[in-house]
Amino acid sequence: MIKRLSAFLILTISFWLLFSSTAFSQEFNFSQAYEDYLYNYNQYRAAHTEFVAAKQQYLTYKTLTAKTEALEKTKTMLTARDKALRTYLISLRLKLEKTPGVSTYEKNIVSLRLNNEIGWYETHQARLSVVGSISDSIQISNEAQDHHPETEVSAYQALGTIIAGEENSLRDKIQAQIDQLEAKIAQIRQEGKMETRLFERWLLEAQNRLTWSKEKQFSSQSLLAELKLRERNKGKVYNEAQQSFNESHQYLKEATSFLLEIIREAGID
Amino acid sequence: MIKKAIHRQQKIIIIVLVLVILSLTLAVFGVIYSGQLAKWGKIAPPSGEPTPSQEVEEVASPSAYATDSGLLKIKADLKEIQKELDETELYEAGLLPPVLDMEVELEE
Repeated sequence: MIKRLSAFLILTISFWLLFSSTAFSQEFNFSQAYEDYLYNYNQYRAAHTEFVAAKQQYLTYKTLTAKTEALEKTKTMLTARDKALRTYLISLRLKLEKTPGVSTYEKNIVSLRLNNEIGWYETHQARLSVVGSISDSIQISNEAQDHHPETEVSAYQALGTIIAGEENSLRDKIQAQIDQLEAKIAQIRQEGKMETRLFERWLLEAQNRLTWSKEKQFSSQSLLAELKLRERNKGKVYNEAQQSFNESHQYLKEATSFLLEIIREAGID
Repeated sequence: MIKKAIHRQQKIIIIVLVLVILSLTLAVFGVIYSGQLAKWGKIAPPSGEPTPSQEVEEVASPSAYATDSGLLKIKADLKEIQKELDETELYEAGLLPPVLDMEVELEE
């Protein structure tokens, strides 16, 4: 009896632990990660303002007190900078995870790259805690400066993957409606109660819009895939890719309008 | 006798004058207001074409597929997709890389 009771208790506790850990992992979703990032970004901005003031004091007076203060503020600012970047990358990864329309393979590749970035800033942040001089802190900061272009490329490419995934998902939904409507039009044609040639032509137009939308999306993704580390204005390339994404989205809107037009016309004698 | 004849002549002249003035006044009024009246639509210029007294609005009658459950379902799904398309935020402005000061210097 005692054995059964203890077995039951162990099972209950195991289940409770399992479910509570699952619940915890589910709790830290994209929204929370994003909030975390915004908080850390604000912390960085405050730390940066204090760093600028301490730097001015140090460069003006060159006292030991000013130097110690400047070192502390530099370390605080650099730590906050690493945290801001790390939490930003985490929120980006969680956004990618919840985005529909991205293949598992692509999700894995982009997540892996983001995880590497997150790991890099974690290690970098740990090294900052043992910095003892201003020159050391500047040297460690320079490492982050050299690494940052890689982070930017990974971030912009992840953003492109997220947007492409959303577009894929919408396109799949529209394609499903085209297939259903095609079957319905075939049925109407067989019944012979209505002329369907116009509907068939409009259906073809909608299908063309989906193809063009896909082409525009591919050109955006190609632009982002070719984003170079040395590219000075990565934001500009992202904006160019954005233009094509917008055009791709516009085609999806037009395809949907055409399908609704067919249904409207089919309802009129 | 002569006096009477003169008096009659004067009367005729006055009547003729009054008639002339009246007809001139009417003619002037006619010229001035004819354009205005046409504008108001009281005097419609003859077009030679018959115009319908009232416009008849064409009412489309529903087809046999107006209440087709399959089509209505597709329509409802498409409306949902249309809403989703309008609400999709393509730029992801909130997720752009943060602006950070990466060039830190502390020495002159």
